[in-house]
Amino acid sequence: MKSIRVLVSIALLSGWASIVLAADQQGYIKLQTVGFQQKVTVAKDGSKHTDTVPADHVLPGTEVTWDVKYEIIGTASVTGAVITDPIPQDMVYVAGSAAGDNADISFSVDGGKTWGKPETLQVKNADGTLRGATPKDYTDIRWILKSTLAPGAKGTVSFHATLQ
Amino acid sequence: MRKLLLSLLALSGACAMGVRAADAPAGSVIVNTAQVSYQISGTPYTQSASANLTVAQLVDVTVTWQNGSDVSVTAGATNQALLFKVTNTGNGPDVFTLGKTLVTPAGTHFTPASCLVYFDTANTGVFDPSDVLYTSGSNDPHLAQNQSQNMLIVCNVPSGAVDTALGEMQLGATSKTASGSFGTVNAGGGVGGVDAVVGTTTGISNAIGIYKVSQFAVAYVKSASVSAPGGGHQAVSGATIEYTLTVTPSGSANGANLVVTDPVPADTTFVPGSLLLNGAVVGAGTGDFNVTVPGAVTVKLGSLAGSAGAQVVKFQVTIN
Repeated sequence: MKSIRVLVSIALLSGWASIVLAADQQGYIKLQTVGFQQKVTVAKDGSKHTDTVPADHVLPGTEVTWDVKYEIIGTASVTGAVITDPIPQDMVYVAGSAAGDNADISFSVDGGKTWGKPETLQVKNADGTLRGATPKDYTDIRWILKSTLAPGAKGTVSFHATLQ
Repeated sequence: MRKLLLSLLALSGACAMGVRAADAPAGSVIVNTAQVSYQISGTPYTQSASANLTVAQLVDVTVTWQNGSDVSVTAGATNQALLFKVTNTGNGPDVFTLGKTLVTPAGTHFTPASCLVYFDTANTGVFDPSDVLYTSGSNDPHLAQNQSQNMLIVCNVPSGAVDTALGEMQLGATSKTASGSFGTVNAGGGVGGVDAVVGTTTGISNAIGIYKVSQFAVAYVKSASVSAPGGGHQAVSGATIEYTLTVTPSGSANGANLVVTDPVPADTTFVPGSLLLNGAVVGAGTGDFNVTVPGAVTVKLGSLAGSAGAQVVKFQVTIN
């Protein structure tokens, strides 16, 4: 097994991770975060056409699709991969939108201290009583990738959130 | 440069936007940072990756009439104010052009005259001399996200306006950043050079304020009847004169602090206990002779609605 013996720095695009590898590391996960939105174009005859375009400039009220792409680079298999993503500021998670093949998805309402499924999460009311959490309460999403990832394996986890 | 592009972004929350102001400020950058933790041969590693988006400017404005109910005015009154609130419901700073428009209601109405738009500088909701006159293009209100400005339309009521007539004026606000149909884009025209996009309010909002003429008037009739000791009607010494004072209110308004005062004639003597209001003896708190006003009867009618009907005061004197 050949180790990668150079320092690799990848910063070609905003959205690409900047990675500095230790001299003896045999591989790494290349991670990329990308946002998309739907753009509807209305033709002169009134017909509508929807395109998926990068979420570079986004209007309040718009639902953004966030993709987190991963790829195993190098020669080593990866185990125990867990992807976490805090829901961005001024955005609200869209119920039922989190997805990811072969991933166990859970949510947090306390900034990632504790995790649970939507039906088990609770938040405190002002009077101290508990109520069931709503998507607006979610602070973080977590994907636990269930299997060992072989070199070259890649995938995407995703969720939707609405800009307030 | 304003470009009318027939293009709009699909807005999942489009219905809700009309009622709820946007939170995310235009031009702000929102970062999404994902992190992955994993192990290779038992050694833990983490990596993260971020993506940014810039919040575009949504242009919206809401004008509401603030008086809550028709503003009561009287014929000939000057500087009568309708209060409006202009709120920047977009997510970035904006400047608004204001305009007033006469609205003609159905039914009995009048035309408000000499109308001007003022800032409610004194913050009283009515016209004050210190309120600053609005001049379009000169002092258009600059409002930050969610900021409001109270404005007044100040008019005179014609002297010929009749009771219960309505007068209506509309205040309109138009964004100088972008306006038009929902989704119209002013490319680069927003704060910090972001695109400004017209929201559900079309960048224009109007509200109508209503005046209502509310008059109050009283008719006053006085009559007398004489009863002589012998049964005749001659005004001779010892005869009794009964005076009847009839106060008849009218109009859609209420009158307040109505007081009837009538001096007892010279060479007569007030008959104690003879002072009646609507057939009932008047108590000390409501009326008197020679107490509130020397030498006169006084009856305090207080507040009366225009619809209250005739109020009848009677009292007797004897001729000395």
